Amino acid sequence: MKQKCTPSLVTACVSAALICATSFAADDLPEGFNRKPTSRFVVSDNPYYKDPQIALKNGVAANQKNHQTNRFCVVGYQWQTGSMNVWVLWKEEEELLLWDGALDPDSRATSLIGVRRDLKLGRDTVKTEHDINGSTYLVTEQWWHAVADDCMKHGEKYVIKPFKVAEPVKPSDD
Amino acid sequence: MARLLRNDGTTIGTQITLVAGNQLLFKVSGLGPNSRHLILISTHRSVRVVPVSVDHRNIEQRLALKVSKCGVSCSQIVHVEAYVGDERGQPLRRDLNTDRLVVQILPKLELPPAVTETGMLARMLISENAGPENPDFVSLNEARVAMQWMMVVLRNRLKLGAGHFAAGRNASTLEELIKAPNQIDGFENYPSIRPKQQQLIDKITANANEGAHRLNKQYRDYIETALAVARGELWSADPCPTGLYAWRTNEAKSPGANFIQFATKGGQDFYTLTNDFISKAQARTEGRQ
Repeated sequence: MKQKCTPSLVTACVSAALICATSFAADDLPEGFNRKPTSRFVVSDNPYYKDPQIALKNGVAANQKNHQTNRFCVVGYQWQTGSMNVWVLWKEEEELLLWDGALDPDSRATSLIGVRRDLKLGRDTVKTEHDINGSTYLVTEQWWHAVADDCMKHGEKYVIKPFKVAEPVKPSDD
Repeated sequence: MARLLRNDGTTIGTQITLVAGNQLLFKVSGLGPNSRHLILISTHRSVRVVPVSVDHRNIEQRLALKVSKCGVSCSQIVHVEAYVGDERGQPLRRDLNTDRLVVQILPKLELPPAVTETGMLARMLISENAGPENPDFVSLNEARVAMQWMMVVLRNRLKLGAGHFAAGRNASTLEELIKAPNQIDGFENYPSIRPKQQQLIDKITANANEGAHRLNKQYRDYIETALAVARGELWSADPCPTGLYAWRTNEAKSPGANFIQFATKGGQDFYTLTNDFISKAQARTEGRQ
């Protein structure tokens, strides 16, 4: 069933903190994409990715990491063709998540519960481009670090403190 | 006259769609002509009207519609009608001032068993493609084409020799190819799928089976398309003269120096191979045979 409980759970207690703002600087965009992006964008200003802390918190809960402090960084890239990529660095998990977002607020709230790409350093990274060898998802360590470092330098950072996951409310049968 | 409202206060209207097993919480705002709560009754046992919070001092009562789990052959139309109630809560007569609610019930969409090839392919297609709410989702038609092209890639890899794509020389079936290391994100230990890909599959399937979801029809169409492609009912010829051999999410690094980008479809970049690589790979494959 649709996870109806999560958005209300999060709106009840959002403890994330936006620590610093993103940067538009385009002269030092990371290499290692198919084509170099033309610019960054402020992820939380885009309607598909508004209120990132809600989706982040629900993602933490879904992965049962809510007992610990989780630190995230979010960075968005765009290309001349209109393509966009939003990458979420989950520092504790050493993962880069490809975040697709959503326009509808309820769907957006659960949009980090399940992603098409979760690239874990070591598990999903290889030393050289040659080692990708036709894989649909492997990336080089160099690309992983380039995006993670770029995010830490220019992205939006969030800290999700430990929290309890509320039980979903069920109607009574009487 | 009473109005039926969703929990967020919006009007339900005279027709809704629910899926077998669904539960819809709603409110009845207004009373009958005798200033008592109206009693809502379903015309078929497959839909039950269940009280959630009924206080006769309030003008509003909170109820739930519960649709039974009736398997895959339960498509039907059920009516929910309002009745004027007596002092004991028994229905006296229909309240013609309150619109009858038409409930269209759809069967639950189930993925084929995970152990079947169709089940594995359907899950892989759902996990890899951009779903209806994804910014990369252009249309169902484009999503279908992207799914079909993924199948073309898998078939071409098997034909040319899976070993050329780090899948191991012994991979000779779709299952072996998909489960080979580093081929499909999260599917290496199939039928166990890595949590984040499994969550995505579960979420998309749940949305297809939640009649109250804003894009329920789009999610149902999307899943049914994935199922049809997985079953081979929506088969596609190879669109590329030199053959498709890889895909990557849009703007991800090329899968290797021997790959040439062919086209972008449904948020995926599809690749062919250089003629030189194909010739050498064919020669090696034929040499082994």
